Amino acid sequence: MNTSQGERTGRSSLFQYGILNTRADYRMTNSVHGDSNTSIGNVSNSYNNTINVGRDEESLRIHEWLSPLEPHKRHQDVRNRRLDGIGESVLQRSEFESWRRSRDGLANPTLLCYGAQGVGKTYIRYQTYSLETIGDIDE
Amino acid sequence: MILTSNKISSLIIDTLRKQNRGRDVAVLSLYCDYQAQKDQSAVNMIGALLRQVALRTPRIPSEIESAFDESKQEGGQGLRLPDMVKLFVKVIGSIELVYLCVDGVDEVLRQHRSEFLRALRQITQEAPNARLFLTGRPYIRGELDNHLTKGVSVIQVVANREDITKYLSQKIDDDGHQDPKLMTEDLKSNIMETMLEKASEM
Repeated sequence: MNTSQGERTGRSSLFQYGILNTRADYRMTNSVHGDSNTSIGNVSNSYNNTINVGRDEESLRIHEWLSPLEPHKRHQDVRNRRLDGIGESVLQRSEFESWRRSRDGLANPTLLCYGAQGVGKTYIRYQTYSLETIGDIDE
Repeated sequence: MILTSNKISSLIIDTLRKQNRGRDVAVLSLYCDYQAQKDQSAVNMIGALLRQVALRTPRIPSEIESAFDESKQEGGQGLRLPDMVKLFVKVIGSIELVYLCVDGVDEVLRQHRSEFLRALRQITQEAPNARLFLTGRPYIRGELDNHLTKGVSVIQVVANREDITKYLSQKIDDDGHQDPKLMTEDLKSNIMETMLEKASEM
């Protein structure tokens, strides 16, 4: 196998976000990875949707050219760990409402959100310590 | 952790997406991360936001394609920051409203941070349809004030009693699944009371 792990990950994540659109595309990509002797060009020729594949490859290259970072992945991870209902008071704050609804210079275009000092880390450390006997509650 | 900035950010992002479903509104997210500091240069971060704009449509926007083709002719190098910002402003020009949500700016290396913040400011100045949401630890507030002088609203987020109660209750329930006999209702309410009392003292 002559393909790096990084490339494989990049490809499957693009599949996930809709660049490699069909299941067929995805399987084909896997088969390319599995065979050390075939180049991507050769394999895609054996399929009827060569044009489609060519465009996907090009999209992938453009995405990698724009940035090596893939922050949308992280969003999925964070939202999975978020507990329902927690922090929702933020959404009721008037600052959030007016920022969200502001149109063309009528309100501030930027909203900064700070954690309050002394509550975050200190509090969390205390909590971890106190609940140690009943299990690990830190994330 | 009860209320980390990235959970707030993910809540804001999901809320904005839900509220704007079906409209010509882009909600872009960027979670800064200590572990990715090497790659978190200003140009890569703006590029990461632009990648998400490119994912909105079946075809990559033509402005991005031409910039890519041009760079190929010049040896395939990445864009410089000023060109990346220009490209970003141009590409989002056709979208009604663009929310840029950047979580944990303090996790970006200091030398990249000021460049990045200046780039974000430039975007909000040049694109009237751009809205910026930023989270960070309080210690970088001075730095943010320097770079984002005009047009900033600020909110401070604290986990309130309700948040703490929900969090503890859920965590205790999760833990009780291991051995339900050990976690009685009495013990549960006892723990909750003690924790809330201690939290309010801090």
